[in-house]
Amino acid sequence: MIKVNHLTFAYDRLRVLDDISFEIGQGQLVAVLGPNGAGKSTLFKCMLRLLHKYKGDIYLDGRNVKDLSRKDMASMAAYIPQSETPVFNYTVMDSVLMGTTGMLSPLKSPGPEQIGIAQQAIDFMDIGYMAHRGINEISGGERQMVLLARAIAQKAKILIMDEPTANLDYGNQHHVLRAIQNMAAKGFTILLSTHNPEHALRYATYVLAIKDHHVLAQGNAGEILTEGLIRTIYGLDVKVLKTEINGSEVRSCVPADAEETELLS
Amino acid sequence: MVAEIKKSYKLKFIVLISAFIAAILISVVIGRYSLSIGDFFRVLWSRISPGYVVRSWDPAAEKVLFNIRLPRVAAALLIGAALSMAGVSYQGMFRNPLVSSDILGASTGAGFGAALAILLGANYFGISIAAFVFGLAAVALAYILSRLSPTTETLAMILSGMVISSLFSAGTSFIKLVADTDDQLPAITYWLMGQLSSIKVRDVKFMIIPMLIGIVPLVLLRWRLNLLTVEEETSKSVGVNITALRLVVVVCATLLTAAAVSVSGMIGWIGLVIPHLCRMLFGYDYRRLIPATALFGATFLLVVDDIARMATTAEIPIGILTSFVGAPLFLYLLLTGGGRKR
Repeated sequence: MIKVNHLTFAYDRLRVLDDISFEIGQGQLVAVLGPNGAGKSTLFKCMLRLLHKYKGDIYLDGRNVKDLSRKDMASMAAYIPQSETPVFNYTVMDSVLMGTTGMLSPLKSPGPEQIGIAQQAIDFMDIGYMAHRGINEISGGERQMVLLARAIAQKAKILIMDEPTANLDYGNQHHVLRAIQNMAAKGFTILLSTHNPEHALRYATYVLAIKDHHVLAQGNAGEILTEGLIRTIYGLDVKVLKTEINGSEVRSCVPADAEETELLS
Repeated sequence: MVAEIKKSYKLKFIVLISAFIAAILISVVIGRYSLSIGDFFRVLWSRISPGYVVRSWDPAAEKVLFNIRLPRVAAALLIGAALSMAGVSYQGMFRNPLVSSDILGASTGAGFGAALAILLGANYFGISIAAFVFGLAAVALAYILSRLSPTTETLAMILSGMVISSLFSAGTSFIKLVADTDDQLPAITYWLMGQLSSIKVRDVKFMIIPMLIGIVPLVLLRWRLNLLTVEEETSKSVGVNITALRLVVVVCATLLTAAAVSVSGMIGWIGLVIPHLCRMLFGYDYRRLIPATALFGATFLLVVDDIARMATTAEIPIGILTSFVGAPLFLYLLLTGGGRKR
């Protein structure tokens, strides 16, 4: 579904991505981990062709991103930003409807078909109760649900999310990630960056770890995300704990660096 | 609930359209030479199908109507609609509700052009053309400058617009300094204040084509204008060619502003205040906002122009009146937050 070959990108002389390669199949939920400045956002921007002066190749569904028009691009991959602070107070319905713009010819406004698509997306995310509220009048968690609904209305099968939970409280992080997990189960291929390795342990099927501009490790979340890898990514000792929730094993991690324990004792 | 909201918008549009029509009818009949509404329709009908109407009216009435009053009403409607549409488009494009139709220097450029033409002794029509050309040139310059800058597209546009504006207004000040104080300086000052009192049929003919070229694409693109107001990355990934869309908006809004200013002189506040009023009444969706601002702006300027010509025996320049009416309104919006709710 997604294939990236030897991707290299530099802002002027500053190298941000160095020979990144990976391949992801349909229905995967990929967590992209890496410290600040590792190049996660730049990777996403290249994949969405928001940046195009890169070396190497990016294929979405077998097609080279460089050959795609904006419109084709929009039909294949949707982007969900960290958060969106709208200047104008559009209704939730109108915001979701914006996702359908790519399928319209430039001079057309959305018709019954697009409104139907937006309605389906709203129903899928279960946010019908706020469809006619203003986007500035709902909470950050709800707004993130709206952005997901807009991506669904775009009818793209690949969703690229830049830290979709960074501005959310603990409860909303879980709700949004559950919704994302649900979308992957329904066939969407999802790439999301996160600063929290627990998100990767708990929700992701595949992990792509980036550090110092290149791929540090990648593979099935259950196999590669070890205490050692987390230590290498963040430079911090952690303990990965196992527990059982509803009969299935769930892993999580806690920081366990020596100095802190000394301070406490 | 959806049906309710839609119904309320529909009702507001009906009220707005009625106000628009009423304002036209009132503006046509009132004035120093007042006509009855019946005479107005009879004169109009006699033009459409001559021979059917008995000529019972004063021949002077016909002259006043066709040479003075109708052109003036048409000009007020067109200019009001043009400035409001340019303002609402720019506010979306710059994602800033505080910018107005002259953000990229169209008005100051036009002002400079007019001042220069007056200084060089051009006739009335020459002044309009110079104003129009310099208005376009100022924006073109600002746009090209912004494209050369490595900064964010919209930020670069605002900054280069500011630079070009201040250059041209300095130029205007210089022309005022060297202008003949008996004759040219008052003419420049009066022109800059903005007025509709000397509008002729040819002025309407002059501005109608650039205005139509500006209005039609904005009306057709009204849904896409919404996508200008969200983050650039979002609108791009949704499938919009944002740079092309911005260029279309700049060209249309500039044609509208330059055409309006070149005929009327500088009329402030409309491009800023009308979009806000319309957002309060009709929400944020450009599908409604574009027709609403056009109608509201047209009606507003027509009514203000009626006040301008009726309030005192010596006409008040309309540029002053719009500020008198617009400034308190804007202040009110600023203090109450300006949103539709909260």
